[in-house]
Amino acid sequence: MTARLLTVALLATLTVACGDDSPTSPTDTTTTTSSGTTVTYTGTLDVGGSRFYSFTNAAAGSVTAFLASVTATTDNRVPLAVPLQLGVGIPAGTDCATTTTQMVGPGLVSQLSVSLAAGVFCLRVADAGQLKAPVSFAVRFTHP
Amino acid sequence: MRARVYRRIGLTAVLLGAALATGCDDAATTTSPTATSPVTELFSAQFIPGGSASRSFVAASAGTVSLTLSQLGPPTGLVVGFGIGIPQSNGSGCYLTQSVNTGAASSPQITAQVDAGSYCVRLYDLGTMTSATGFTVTIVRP
Amino acid sequence: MTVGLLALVALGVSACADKSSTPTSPTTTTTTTTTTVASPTTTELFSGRVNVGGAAFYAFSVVENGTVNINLADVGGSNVPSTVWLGLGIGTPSGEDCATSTTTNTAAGTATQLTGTYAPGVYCVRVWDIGNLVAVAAFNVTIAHP
Repeated sequence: MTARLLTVALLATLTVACGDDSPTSPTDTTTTTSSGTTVTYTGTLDVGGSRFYSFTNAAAGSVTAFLASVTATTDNRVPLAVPLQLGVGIPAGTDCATTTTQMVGPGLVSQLSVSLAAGVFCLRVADAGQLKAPVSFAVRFTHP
Repeated sequence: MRARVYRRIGLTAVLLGAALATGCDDAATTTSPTATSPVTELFSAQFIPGGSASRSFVAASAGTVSLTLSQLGPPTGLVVGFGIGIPQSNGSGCYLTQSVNTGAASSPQITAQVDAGSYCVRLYDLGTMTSATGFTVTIVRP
Repeated sequence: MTVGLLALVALGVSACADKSSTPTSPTTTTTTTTTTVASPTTTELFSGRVNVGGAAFYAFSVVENGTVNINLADVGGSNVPSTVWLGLGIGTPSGEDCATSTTTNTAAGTATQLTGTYAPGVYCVRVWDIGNLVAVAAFNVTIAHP
């Protein structure tokens, strides 16, 4: 009798110890992901004009961007505080058909953040009526 | 005799079960994040009349960057353009985000919030320099 | 009885020791996949200008695997003969241009000069001066795609 009970206990112990392989929810995790590709997109923008830059997302993920610099084309030493329109979309025809846009002034933190699938997309910079003369711009954006 | 054998079976079962229970434990081991302190860099150089000087640095994480033009000249009282931005792709300069016209001071002339990434500080002649001028900039970054 | 109990123990140990499934003999399965190639259902007109030494491109989206036909239909302009040869290509938008994967040099005409089968995605047609222009050229390109 005692031996049988002990043996049952042994079998029960073995079943419980190895029976549950379901993962438990982490209580504190630090996730490290690839930062993706960072692009510095520069150019000049005419009054009322726009330009765009096409890129390919290798995987689904976030695209983040900020307008880092706006300067006069005649003197790039002095930054201007003029806002431009930043947008993200899909190249279509001779333009970039934006699905997300934001009016932003120069800064060094993310001003536009969009979750996109893998595939071809574009970042667009445009004058939304603020320019009085052509300017030089620099945009930094990161994509998967 | 028989009782002793059964006692041994029972003891073995307990020990074996405990060992297996430990081996089947898949609980993740977590670590506490390590806080990083701001980093201070010094940028000392010279630039010529009509010219400029720039230096790139990396912010390891998002946070605040402080730039102090702590030493400038001779001559004393000189005022130059002083700005922060992102480095040009070819490494030759700095696309400025913001700038001030300033002389040397003991407190930061520029403070900016940044994401993690590479940035630059740039000094340039406003047209008042008459000879090559030395300077020191203190960069405090995440 | 002792033998029976030991047998039960052995059964329990073996059940727990190997968590992986019991391997079985692999079976061979042959699958034949047929990819449908759709015919063009949409035609877009790309009208533009190419400067001397320049290029222009136009982006379009293919919605299903199928045939894309590109036709440089006509070229003209002051000091630009209609028979001038230009570069014509298909590729993927990249940066501020179109990175071509298939190209040809051709004059304008009624027949398709470039064709291929393309998976769903975003593509571009590029037209450029291959060194024959002395003035800006206006052109029309038709793009037929699924």
